[in-house]
Amino acid sequence: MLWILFGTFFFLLVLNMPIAFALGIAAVVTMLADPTMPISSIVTRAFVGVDSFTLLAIPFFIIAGELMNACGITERIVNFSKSLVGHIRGGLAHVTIVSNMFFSGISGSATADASALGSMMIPAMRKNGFDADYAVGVNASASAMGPIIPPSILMVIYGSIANVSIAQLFMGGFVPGLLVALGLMCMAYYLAFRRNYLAPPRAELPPVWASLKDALWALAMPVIILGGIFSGIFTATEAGVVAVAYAGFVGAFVYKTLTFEKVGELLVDASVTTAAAMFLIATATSFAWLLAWGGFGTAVLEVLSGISNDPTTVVLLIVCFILLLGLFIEGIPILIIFTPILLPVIKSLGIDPVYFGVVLVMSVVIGSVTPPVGILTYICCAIAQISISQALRGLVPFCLVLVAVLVLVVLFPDLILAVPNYFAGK
Amino acid sequence: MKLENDVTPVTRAGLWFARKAIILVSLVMITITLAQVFFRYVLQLPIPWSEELARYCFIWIVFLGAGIGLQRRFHLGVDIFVNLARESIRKHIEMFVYFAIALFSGVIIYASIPVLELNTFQTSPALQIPMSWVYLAIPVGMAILWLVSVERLIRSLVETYKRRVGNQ
Repeated sequence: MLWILFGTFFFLLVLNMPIAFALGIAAVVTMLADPTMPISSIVTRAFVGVDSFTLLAIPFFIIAGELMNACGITERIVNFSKSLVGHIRGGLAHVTIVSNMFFSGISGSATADASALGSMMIPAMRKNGFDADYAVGVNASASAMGPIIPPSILMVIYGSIANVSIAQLFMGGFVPGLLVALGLMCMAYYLAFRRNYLAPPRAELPPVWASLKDALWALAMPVIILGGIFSGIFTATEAGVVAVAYAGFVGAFVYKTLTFEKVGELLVDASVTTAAAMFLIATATSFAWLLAWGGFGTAVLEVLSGISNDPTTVVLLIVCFILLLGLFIEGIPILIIFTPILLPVIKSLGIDPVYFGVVLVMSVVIGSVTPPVGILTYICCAIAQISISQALRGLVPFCLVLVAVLVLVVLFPDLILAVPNYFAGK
Repeated sequence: MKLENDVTPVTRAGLWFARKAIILVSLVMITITLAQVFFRYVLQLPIPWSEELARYCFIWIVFLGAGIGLQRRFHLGVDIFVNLARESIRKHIEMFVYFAIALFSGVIIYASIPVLELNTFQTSPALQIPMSWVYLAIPVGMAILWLVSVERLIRSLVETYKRRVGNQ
């Protein structure tokens, strides 16, 4: 039975069938092959997979991010970042990284960050004498911070499947996210040195206080979201809807850029983005159920326990596997299919599910940067109008930084767990 | 409105309905969840049915949005292998993909009939509405998916046929 499931899935994948449908069709074909399974169970399973108040956080974070974007905050945040780090050698590269960091705290998705900031920073970098491959490398890898720094759609999905507190996961992503920013900036600096990129002197950049004041309404949003969640006042979903209200208020009364027509269009856009992720969950639920039914999880468990019983080794093995898979498949399907399979393994070895969740999300995000199939690199290459192979030289060093940070947090779990443990009062 | 000018009136009507419904349902979802926060934390008077209503709105949004997503090419696949193939083979593969999606949405619509029947008299715990109203989102969304995929399939067929006639 597993052969039919996997066979159909990979066959369709090779034909460029959208993954959500490849999963759904593989499940249907497998169920048709076994007459004891009622085909209507795929409908109820799709329903149950989507019917979750926790997952409701996803559209809210997407809507809030889009509302903020429509307010024109991108420019303000970039300006503020310029005032902070624009003078460091490799100027605009650091500005991109720091802007992405702030943006990550507002939007929950990496693709939104990559297209919003990429379409602004890549042309600017090209105009200032940076090579296209370097610009793509910086932008694609920096947008990977999106799902690592809270709020994060991937963490919401993991948390809802694994039944782990979203707040704890969000807190766990904090230090790794900052480490990624720091690592990328070091690499950007080193490459800027090697390639002889310069930066404008401090005097030509916007003043810190003025640009901070200009960006304050936008920067306050992560404080509200995270403050609300971390202090335990809100659930992630409630924080999401409060963020929507805040962004709507700022757009309508402070920046005065929102119109009814714009909001309508924006709600449709946000729903389509949400649906693309959630429809995957709907079809993957049946796929994952068939996997479990066919005994795939137990097989994985046996293989892994046959290799090693050391928690760190097992996590490293899983990370390698996910990174390999990430070369070809996008993040959300990997997360939905493998979380339920890997979770029992993790728990039996006594590994903290919050730590594992952050590690898994990071691996999956790196997968969406790494070519040949990496949506973040696709987006940035499309903006820079170069092919992926042309971007490779600039991309590889930054991917190595991402992997290095990932290995670092795997080896030192406290980097992830210190913040959530501190807030939990442990 | 994006990318949706190149479709036939039937599909356009379907997509128009989906867009308007999404805007309405999204606004309800946002308002009711905000109200939930306000009533729980400010008035200390939780609404018993708000969470359920928000979840059901969400389900409708997901399945309606999936159809528009196909139209806007929002569902991602793995294109590195087909990009290696020749143009004409790639066209045929694309036709097969849309054919399979149309067939899949048809099967799901068919499979949801017994589920709807079963849930006509089943009411939701808090709102006491028939569960079939919520389940209906799946066949409706699939119908939009079916429209979009059939249209893409027919379009590709016509294009290929025209080119073949043109070559002779």
